[in-house]
Amino acid sequence: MAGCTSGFERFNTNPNEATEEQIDWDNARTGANFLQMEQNVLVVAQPGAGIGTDRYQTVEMMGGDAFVGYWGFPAPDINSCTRYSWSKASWYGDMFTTNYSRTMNAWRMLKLAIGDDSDPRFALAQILKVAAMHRVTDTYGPIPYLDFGVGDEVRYDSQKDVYYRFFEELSSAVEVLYPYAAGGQTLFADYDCVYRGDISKWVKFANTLRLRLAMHIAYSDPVKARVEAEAAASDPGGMMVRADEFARLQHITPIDNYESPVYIVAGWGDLRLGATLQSYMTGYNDPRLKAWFHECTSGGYQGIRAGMANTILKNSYAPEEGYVTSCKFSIPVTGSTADVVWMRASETYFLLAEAALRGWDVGGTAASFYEEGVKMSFSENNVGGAEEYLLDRVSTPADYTDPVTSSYSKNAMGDITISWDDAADDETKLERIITQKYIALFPVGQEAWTEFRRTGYPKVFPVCVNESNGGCVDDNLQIRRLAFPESEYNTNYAELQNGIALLGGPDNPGTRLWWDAR
Amino acid sequence: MLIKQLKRQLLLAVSCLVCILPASAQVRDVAGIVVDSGNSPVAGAFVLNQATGAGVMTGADGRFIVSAGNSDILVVSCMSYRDTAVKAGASGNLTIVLEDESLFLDEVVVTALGISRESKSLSYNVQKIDGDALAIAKDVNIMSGLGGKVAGVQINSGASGIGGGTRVVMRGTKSISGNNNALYVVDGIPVSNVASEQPGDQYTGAGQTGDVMSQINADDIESISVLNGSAAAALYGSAAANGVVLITTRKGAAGRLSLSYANSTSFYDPFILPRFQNEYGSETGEWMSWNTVKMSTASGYDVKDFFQTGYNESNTISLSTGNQKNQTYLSAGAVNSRGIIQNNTLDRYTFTGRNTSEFLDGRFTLDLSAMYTRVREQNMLSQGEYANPLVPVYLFPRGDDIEKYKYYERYDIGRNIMTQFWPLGDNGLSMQNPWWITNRNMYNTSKDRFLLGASIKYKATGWLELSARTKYDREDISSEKRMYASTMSVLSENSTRGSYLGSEICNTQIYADVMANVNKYFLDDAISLTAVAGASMLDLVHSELSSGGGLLTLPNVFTAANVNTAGKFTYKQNDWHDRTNSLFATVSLGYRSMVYVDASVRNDWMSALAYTKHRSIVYPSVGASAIITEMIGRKSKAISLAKVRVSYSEVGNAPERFMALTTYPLAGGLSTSSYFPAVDLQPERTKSWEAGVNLGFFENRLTLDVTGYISRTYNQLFSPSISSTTGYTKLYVNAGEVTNRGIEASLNSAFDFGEFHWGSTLLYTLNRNRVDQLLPSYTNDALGVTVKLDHMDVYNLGGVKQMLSIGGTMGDIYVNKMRTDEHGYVWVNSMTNAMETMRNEWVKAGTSNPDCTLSWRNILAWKGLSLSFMINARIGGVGVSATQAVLDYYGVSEDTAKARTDGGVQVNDRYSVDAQTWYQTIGGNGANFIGAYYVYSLTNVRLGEMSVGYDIPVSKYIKSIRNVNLSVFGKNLLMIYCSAPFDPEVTASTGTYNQAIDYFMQPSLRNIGFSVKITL
Repeated sequence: MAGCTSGFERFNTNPNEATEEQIDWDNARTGANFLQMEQNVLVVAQPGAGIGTDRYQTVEMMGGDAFVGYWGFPAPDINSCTRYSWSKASWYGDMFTTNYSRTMNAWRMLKLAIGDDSDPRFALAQILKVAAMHRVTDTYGPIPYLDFGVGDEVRYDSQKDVYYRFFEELSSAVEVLYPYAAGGQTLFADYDCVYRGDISKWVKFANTLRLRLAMHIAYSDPVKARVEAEAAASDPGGMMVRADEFARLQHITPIDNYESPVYIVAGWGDLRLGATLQSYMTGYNDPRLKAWFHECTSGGYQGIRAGMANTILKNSYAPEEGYVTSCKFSIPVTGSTADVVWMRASETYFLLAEAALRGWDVGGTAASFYEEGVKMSFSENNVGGAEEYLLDRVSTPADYTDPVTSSYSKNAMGDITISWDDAADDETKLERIITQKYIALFPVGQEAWTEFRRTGYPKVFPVCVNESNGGCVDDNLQIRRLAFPESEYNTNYAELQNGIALLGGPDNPGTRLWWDAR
Repeated sequence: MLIKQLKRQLLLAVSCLVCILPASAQVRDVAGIVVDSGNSPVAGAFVLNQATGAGVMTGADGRFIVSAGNSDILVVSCMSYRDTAVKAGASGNLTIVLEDESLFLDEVVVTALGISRESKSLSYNVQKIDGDALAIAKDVNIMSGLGGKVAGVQINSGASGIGGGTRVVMRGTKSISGNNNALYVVDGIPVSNVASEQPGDQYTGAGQTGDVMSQINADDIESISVLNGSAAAALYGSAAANGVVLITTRKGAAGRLSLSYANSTSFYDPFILPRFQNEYGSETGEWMSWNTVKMSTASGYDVKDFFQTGYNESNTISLSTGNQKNQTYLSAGAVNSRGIIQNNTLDRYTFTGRNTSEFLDGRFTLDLSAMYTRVREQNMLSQGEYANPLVPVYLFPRGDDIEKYKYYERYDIGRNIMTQFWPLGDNGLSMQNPWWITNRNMYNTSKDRFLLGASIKYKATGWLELSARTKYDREDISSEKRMYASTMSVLSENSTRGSYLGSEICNTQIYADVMANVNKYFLDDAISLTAVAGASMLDLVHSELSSGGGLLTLPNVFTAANVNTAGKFTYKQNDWHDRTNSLFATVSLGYRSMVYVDASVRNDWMSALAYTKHRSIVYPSVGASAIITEMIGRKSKAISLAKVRVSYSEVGNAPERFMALTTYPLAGGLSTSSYFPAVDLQPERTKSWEAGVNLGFFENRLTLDVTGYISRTYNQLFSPSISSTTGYTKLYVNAGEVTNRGIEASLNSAFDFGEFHWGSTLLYTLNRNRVDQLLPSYTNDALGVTVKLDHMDVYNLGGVKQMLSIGGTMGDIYVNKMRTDEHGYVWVNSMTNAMETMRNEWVKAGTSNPDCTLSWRNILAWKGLSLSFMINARIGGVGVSATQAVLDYYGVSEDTAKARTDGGVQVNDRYSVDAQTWYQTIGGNGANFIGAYYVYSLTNVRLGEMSVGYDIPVSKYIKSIRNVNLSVFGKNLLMIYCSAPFDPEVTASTGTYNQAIDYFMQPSLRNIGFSVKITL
């Protein structure tokens, strides 16, 4: 009977995919998994996994980006995320499921393949893991983390435990990598599409990330926050302080053919300038706006409010789909090969400014870090006029007018100005720092949303229509987190209940996270 | 007078034979005549001397001369007559009367693997349809002509118009995740029918293609056997669960050369459309027709004007010739058709050749066949938003004039090309100028298919026959999608220059088998044995390569070199190779034509099970039948036949390939695998019982066949999502159970009143489908996760979804609703009069499965004139029209006009709600409607087919013409009852789900035409 099945194993092996044996060739097992982690920090299209650019749309644009008013959406369905009623349940779960099935799965493969936690390649994987997963805990709260890849993978951990683990992982990664960085070595150069394997830059990124995470917990755990912030700022490996050190996924081999998500989604006619960003940037006559958005046909920049009613027709906000030549609402300036930005050097300065404001020893004053941050942001965008901009003491955010639905017009939410004022109180200083940070972060909305929830700044227009279940999201406090994905209810119910207990409130978008303690 | 004389002679001859039997050995010429029961000579009958193997054909006068000894048995066979054996006898002049085959229940039917069996010996139900009865109205897809003609089979035509695929489900859907369509078998051998992708969301549906049954010329079909139970299909083992459609193609007949020409011409128009309004217009530049004041004159806009009269022109010329040793059949057919939507066309050319020859004294029979089909399809649309002209046509603002958009493109001076004229925009529903869509969003598919077959039979002894067969089946499908510059960006892949996608698919199937057939009588012919044992191999290779994307350099130059590879570039390769090796045997024992016992077994080795623990699977079946009328020895005129039968079988459904071994996707870089490998994978298994009775009354002029069955399908394949915290998103596991039980019955009658003939068939089908179990708690030890599914979403379209739940059916339809109070009234805020939608609250609306279906077919014939008609009824089941919801939202449905005229909509019989507010609350700009308001009963009764034919007696005047038949026919002529705004019998998808949900489906077709058949 052996003859009956000869060749069957070959037939039943997918010839269009790689086998376990083949993926060891040219070290693809480690290299490709490293790259896969990079592709999911901010998720880009991965055709092999059936992930399209719509995933970036649901995870980033319809998440933090929308909640802080970077983008406005003409389509009623897309707007459901800012009405807090998500037309598809999978949308609010995508951040969670994508990171586990893509980032953590690849991390586990890497860990197994490397087999040595003191290997510098593993240290790089640890940095990427934190870069991706802090966004997940910042979105949902408690997540399975501590035991992943080593024990009971599906068990939830409190956000505090997860954050403490992040700090450990980053500091030990930097410790492992520092000698290599000092020696100018590279790793994964063929696969690394962020720094082309330059370890010194990875160390700087890790230190800056550590500082970012430290500031996140400034209200909930100020002692730990200060220790971590000061340690990050004083690390010999340094932080990202030059424009060319910023972390971003580049269009280089072997992923030089993916297209910028902003370019794709704008092409679908789903993307316009958000009203909150418009209010601040037009009010400040901010020259960076020109670099990011097209003027409307009628002149000037026009944004869209978050959470427009379901009955609003896409056509009345985006009549000619996609084309820049005629638009009522500003379309982003895009190119198919634009990088996907993770973290910029300007953010380093704003983080340091806040740390200095809190009186922590980070080697400078809040005023100087603030001004460096603004200047860095201008130069990162190749825009001139930062000096002049910083002198502006009068400009305040502009009122918002909706030319289609007049009831959506709204007066500006705040009156914070640009120029640093040492005489101002700390609260005003904080608002100034975070407001400018908000502009500089664009389009990394996830981080801006974290800062909005943590500090209350900038002042974001409330959504037009709040359809949250039972009014669980307060109109003014706005959305604080996302609910755990439906798939966790269906497939990991018992553990999820522990996770919700750790959250300390109902699993809805109105519940505050551990670090959301102000 | 003459007959009596002949009969007497025959009687004499037989009695003489009995007397002188021992003495006979002498060979001499025996002359005779073959006549039918009406005493007309039968030309072309084949007279075979079984003793010597010599055979001759009767002439036009029915006469023959054959050399034979007195005791030699002469067997006379002729198509549509029962084979008759007589002893040659001593008399010099034989008269052999052939009796009409249809008068006998012990007619021969083709069963699994092409094995011919006497139908009386079968323990399961087999339904046979003659090629001629198939359809006078020749549908391009053969199966759509079979609708209403067999019991126990649900046939739904795909909504993609002429030549579209069909959904053929026998005795209910059984597989939750696998295929539920019947297996197609031509001359005993399965043909590959790799399903094309079916529309599975609110967007897709343009660019459909037909299936294998759209590629075969109906004129080449001799007969079709439908094996709808798994016992009948058991010999196909792992491919048998869904039943089998067995097609027997025409062969050449011995006799004089016969040439025929058949033409069938049909004209099509839309059968069922939603009801529209044209009294209330729209504001200038507005999409919605929500003016509250009637237009001074009703708009002349009529959706029907958009549709054109489709046609189908089918021509076949065929030739049959041969002598007793060698017969040939040749045919060439052409189908040229266009659909009801402008620029939808289908052309098909078929060529068939078949030669059957005997050699070495008839001990060897060689059968060679070849078929070639070329199909060209253009713009076959089934449903959805993308590239669907019906969306803008249905929703068109009633105050606007559509005529001006007929010039769908205008010259762009800057670009030197024509670009789309459509200032209205897409309004979130991907709407474009409808004529731009039909002319500039092009979906073309061309298919070339070869079927080459050879079989050889060797008669080893009188009771043993050995055979070997092989068939090569190759299909090349090449499709192109061409979106012209200025097509909306989602379709043109973000390029202002247009987009192009080309794909090449090749399916190659090789089949081979060897069989030994035994036919033997024992113990004075008291016991009959029919047995077959054999081995087969089926090898199917699929390769698919597609590439394309937005155009880079030049607009409207559709070639891969012009595609922007840096842009949204598609490059997909999908190859697979399946092989099934099998051993099989079947045995049937009969006792004095009274009792038969059947058993079969098949063992399959499937490549898709490689790397799993289950490499070979056994499929058994057993059955028995008893002919009571024979047993009690009493065959009265009133009750001429009573037979009971019962059978049990276990069959399978092909497992999914590539699941047991982890491989890593490479597209866009190496990627981790999303599923946990399924080393425990098993094929689905269906276990069924079937029992039936066959009754004949009045010499079988009235027959009743009733079959009851129950089938349980186990080992359903589930791919539940698992917590992504495992790093995987799904795993594969076998579990679950789906039960189908039902009754199928047919009542046939055939009565002659002088020269007037009336035949009637009443078919009744009832099937109850039930999901008994989905996935009970299952723990994967390796991952430490437990999964459980007690409900499962299988299709979702905004306000409606198909969901499986334990105790429900596979056709269950759920809808969302408005917030209601405890009395079931719509909740209305007493302050603001606002209502609230509950978009995520689902209530069960019912099942899309019918309670039962009925069809009643009648043939009335008088001399050469015949009238036939068929009435089809479907009782029960519900469906949802999302189309209606969008029409309401846009204020273009008849309901919205009526509500405005009435001054609003009565909600809870109390509040009068403004028409626009109401319809824009329950309706949807797209799929986001409130499903509870769009549920319709699918019950419908229609005049399904009607035809009038006339055999013009030209042969009286022109000897060379044997027969001329002229028919006029109609299909879907009249909807007697239907409350849904769409035809419940068409389906957007020929797959398992997306049933009974209409989202801008192409309407079904009404068809009126004529046919001419001339035989020389």
